[in-house]
Amino acid sequence: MEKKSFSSGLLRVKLRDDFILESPIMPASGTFGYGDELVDMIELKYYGAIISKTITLQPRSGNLPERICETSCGMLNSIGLANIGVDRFVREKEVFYSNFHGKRIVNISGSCEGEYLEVIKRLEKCEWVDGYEINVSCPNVDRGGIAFGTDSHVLRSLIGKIRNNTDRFLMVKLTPNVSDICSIAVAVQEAGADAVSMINTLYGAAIDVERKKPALGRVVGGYSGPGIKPVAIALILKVKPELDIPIVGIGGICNGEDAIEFFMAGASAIQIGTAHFSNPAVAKDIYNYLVNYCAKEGISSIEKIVGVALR
Amino acid sequence: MSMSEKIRQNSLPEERKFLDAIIERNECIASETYEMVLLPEIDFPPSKPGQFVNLYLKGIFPRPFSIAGRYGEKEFKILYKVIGKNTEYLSGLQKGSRIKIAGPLGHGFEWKEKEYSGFVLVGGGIGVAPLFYLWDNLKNVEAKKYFFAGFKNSSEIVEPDGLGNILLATEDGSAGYKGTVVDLLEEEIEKFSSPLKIFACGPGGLLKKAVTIANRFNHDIEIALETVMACGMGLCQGCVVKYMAEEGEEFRLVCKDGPVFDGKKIIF
Repeated sequence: MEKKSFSSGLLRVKLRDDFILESPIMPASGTFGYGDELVDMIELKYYGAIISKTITLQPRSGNLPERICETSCGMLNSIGLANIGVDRFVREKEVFYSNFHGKRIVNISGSCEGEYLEVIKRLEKCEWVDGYEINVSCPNVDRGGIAFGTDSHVLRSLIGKIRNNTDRFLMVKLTPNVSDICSIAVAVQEAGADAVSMINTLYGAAIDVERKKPALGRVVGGYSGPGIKPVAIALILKVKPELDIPIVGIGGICNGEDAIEFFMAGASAIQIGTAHFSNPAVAKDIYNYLVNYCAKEGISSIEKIVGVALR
Repeated sequence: MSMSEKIRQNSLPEERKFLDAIIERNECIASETYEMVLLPEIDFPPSKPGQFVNLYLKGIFPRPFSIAGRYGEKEFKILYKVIGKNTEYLSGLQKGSRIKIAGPLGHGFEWKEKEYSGFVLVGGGIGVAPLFYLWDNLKNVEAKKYFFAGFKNSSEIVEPDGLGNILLATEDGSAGYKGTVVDLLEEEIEKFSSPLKIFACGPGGLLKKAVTIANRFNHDIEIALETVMACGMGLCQGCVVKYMAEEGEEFRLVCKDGPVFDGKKIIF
């Protein structure tokens, strides 16, 4: 696949000097399979980077059903990081990732520091991986996951060790389920991360009134979708002034206007998650909206509006 | 290869599309039950009975519906029962309305006609929908064909087009056999010459009993499952079912690995 921009650089964003995306749009981990699920159905060129679902050292079958539940403004999930494990991922996804036109980011998680580091070690051998997103914010597993993302000392240690083991682009996905997200974000920056992505899902639950039971098998899951957008915007507005590294905005983005809000709040790029379910071609719609927006506003780059709401 | 050739060869279609479709017909054909014919704006890829389409309606999740029949390269029909907000909305859409659809999705039924002396279709309620499409595809198959259709009462009855052995059951006895469709299957199946392949779709209790019957008489069985799906295309890993694989119990995705499974491998 040829590596050239089709928007004349209007939507080009820089997340690190050597990590430039031709489109600021990425799929949020866990809502787009391994990245290759829809190759026959939609055009992937609208994504500047692909992000895999979370990969762990060992394969994981995930949580018992029910794993998903629709709510009035979003959805609950309790997938539990079901994935094929790093070795099978490396074997089976090389061809797709090698041919993807943009940056290739692998989202990883572990139940202890050693597992995160081992997954990184195995992926470092793959030339077709450009960066990592560290999942320290999954609410749906017993060990690891969110436990790393809620304690700034534990997180600083983990990210520092990962930093010592890779020069690749390193992004950390933050949970909103903390009392002080700024101290977490600053700890991540000080440990050497290149970006933070925020926010992962909020804790959420629902009751199935017919069965008189919790709707999810694991009772509490992660809440995502349009309902969490104001929470994400609020937290990005709060974190942005405290950070020097870029923020990748996530949380209920469904259309171009939503994306603009995230840029204005301080996000340098965005991830689309739950909206993929209600519109598999959402990236194309947002991409086209952003190109038209730049033309209409007479700006030469979408980067010009990053954080304008804070100025 | 044309669509009809592909279907004749029983090969799995691989292409899927996300596109606009026009509603050609949306009619109430039985109690709370509608038949909708959709005309995609461009050619719709080849499909197999058992595959489904996503309809993008209200809310976050699209709704999956079995393809209940095809008319040529484009048009297809679905059957649905009004059970919630989305199907209520669907029932109110007029001819000419435009909706987003994706499909064909999932894996359909498999039938190797030379291996069986008969095919037995067993549908309960709106579960007859994918079997209508299968029935249509079995039209020219030489083996014997039987369609067992069960409903709560006579007001819910929808019957497939075409000739053949259609055996009807209603739970209240208002039409046909009095009892469930699997009770009727159990009484009749011994009369048919083996080996048979059974195809079943309907509520969990029906599927479980159909598998029990298939096991008892040593017939093959495929079942089409229904679950809540967030994406319908393998993105979220939400719609899992327990499956007995060679390596032991594992989860399979109803949307991508199914919705049609070997009934004897599903752990109910």
